Amino acid sequence: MRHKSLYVYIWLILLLAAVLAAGSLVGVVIVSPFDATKTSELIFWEIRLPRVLLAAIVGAMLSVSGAVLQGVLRNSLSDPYILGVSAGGALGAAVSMSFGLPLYAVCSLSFLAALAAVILVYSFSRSSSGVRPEVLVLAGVALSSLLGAALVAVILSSDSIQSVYFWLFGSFAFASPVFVKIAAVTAAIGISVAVFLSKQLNILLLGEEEAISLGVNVKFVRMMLLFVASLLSAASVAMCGIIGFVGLIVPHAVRLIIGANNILLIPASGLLGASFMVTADLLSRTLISPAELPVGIITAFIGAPFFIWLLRRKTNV
Amino acid sequence: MSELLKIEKLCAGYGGPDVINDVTMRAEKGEFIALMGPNGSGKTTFLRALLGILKATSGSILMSGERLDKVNPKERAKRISFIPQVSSPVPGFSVEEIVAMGRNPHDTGPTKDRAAVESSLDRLNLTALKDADISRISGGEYQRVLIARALAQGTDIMLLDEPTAHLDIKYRVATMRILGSLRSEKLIIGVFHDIGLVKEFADRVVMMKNGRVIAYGNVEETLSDKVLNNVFDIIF
Repeated sequence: MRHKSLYVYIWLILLLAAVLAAGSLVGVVIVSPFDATKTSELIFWEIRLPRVLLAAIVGAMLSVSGAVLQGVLRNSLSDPYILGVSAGGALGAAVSMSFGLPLYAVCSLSFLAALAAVILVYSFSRSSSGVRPEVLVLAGVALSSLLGAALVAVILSSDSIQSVYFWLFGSFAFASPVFVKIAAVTAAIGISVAVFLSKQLNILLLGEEEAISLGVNVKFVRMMLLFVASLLSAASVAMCGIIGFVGLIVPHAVRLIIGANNILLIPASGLLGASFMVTADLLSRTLISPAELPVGIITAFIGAPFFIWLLRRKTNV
Repeated sequence: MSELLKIEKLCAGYGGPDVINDVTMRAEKGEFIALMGPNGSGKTTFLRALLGILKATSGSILMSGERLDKVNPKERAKRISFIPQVSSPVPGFSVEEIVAMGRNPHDTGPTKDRAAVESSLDRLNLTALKDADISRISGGEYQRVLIARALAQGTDIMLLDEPTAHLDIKYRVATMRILGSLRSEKLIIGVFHDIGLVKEFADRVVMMKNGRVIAYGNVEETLSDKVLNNVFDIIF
């Protein structure tokens, strides 16, 4: 079993290296860091590389956020997009941008709005017997629509440079070295905390009573994990808009390969999520090249059918 | 030396009126105590209060002379373990991974943890199943996994909530035999409904009705026709 997960990790790292290389080199023009021309060099270092790195970090953040939410809420249909966490984060970011606030303030407000969204959906769906899965998903969808509508209203009434398309379907077109740095720091903090708490998260999966009897400080661990999930998805949304379903597909795919143990699942979801997003971004800018598709369209085309399949399987229709 | 468990006039509930009232009992290591009574009599609430899931509204629980409500969740988990009803287990975890969760309250390091897990698996005859997915084993086997986890937790007190509820008679007897064999080193307190099994395996019975203990003592006295008649309203 341990050998198997070691192999899986090696393959995931190799896959990420391959897609990072492909994503950096391939595009409207094929470039290489060793090109003699100034233009190629500029495209590679200033545009292509930040974009690919941001895509990888955001893919990892959304996937880990999804894996954490699925564990804390004990609901495999959870994902920052479906629960309205992404829409909350986007609304927070768009409102603060329309007031011309600096980037750190945009990220902080985005985080607070995402956290408020997750707490709201969680408290709606909680009953004495735990979280009711159908209510969780329905409350998430309703909140997501409401926040999405508010988001469009905010964008249309402000002179923001980012468009409705950017916020609702996501894009890495605005990637810059500064974004990469902020995303990397947030991802490092958020993913480290998630990994640190992954053993406790495993026990939480057994249910509240068993977790308490095994010495887990349930309230504290649950709150910390909801914080981390909100932080990771809010940071993603603030920099590249809403990209749906990544947090749903990736942890499920990983679970099929290495099981549900979060100690292995969380880092592996981060690795596969990074590869998945770099690939989705590569497709988004090459499929109808030289024009560009919003990356959220690619992930929705893969993720929405997957969600329906999962829903049918879960409800045993 | 003070008793292992001393409960004085314990009252607890869920925010409204108390569900259990004035529960008083004492118990020592080496005892197997069955908690019995009709549905809604407060047995599960009593277990929850012992586990610290519910706060007592009044009264006290002392373990070896120390008040349990002053002890943090991790320390409490070093003293009291819990075996729930067999429900649908979370798929994707191996038997060994579930048993290892019993070591969570301890900071004794990986070598000691592994030794405790291996010896628990061995005592419950689960070594051959240690890599099996817990959603693919039988209810009886899963019950043994939960007992092994409590054993790995290394506590003096083991609490059980209807551990035999969903098991057929073969596994019920097997579970009771395992618990009986652990008796000498633990205090075992469990909710049971099967009078026959309780008569055969338990040392004492706490009979509850409407949140109060109405009989407490050895099996013959507490399971007499008179008491059963009073508690369950059935003529024996």
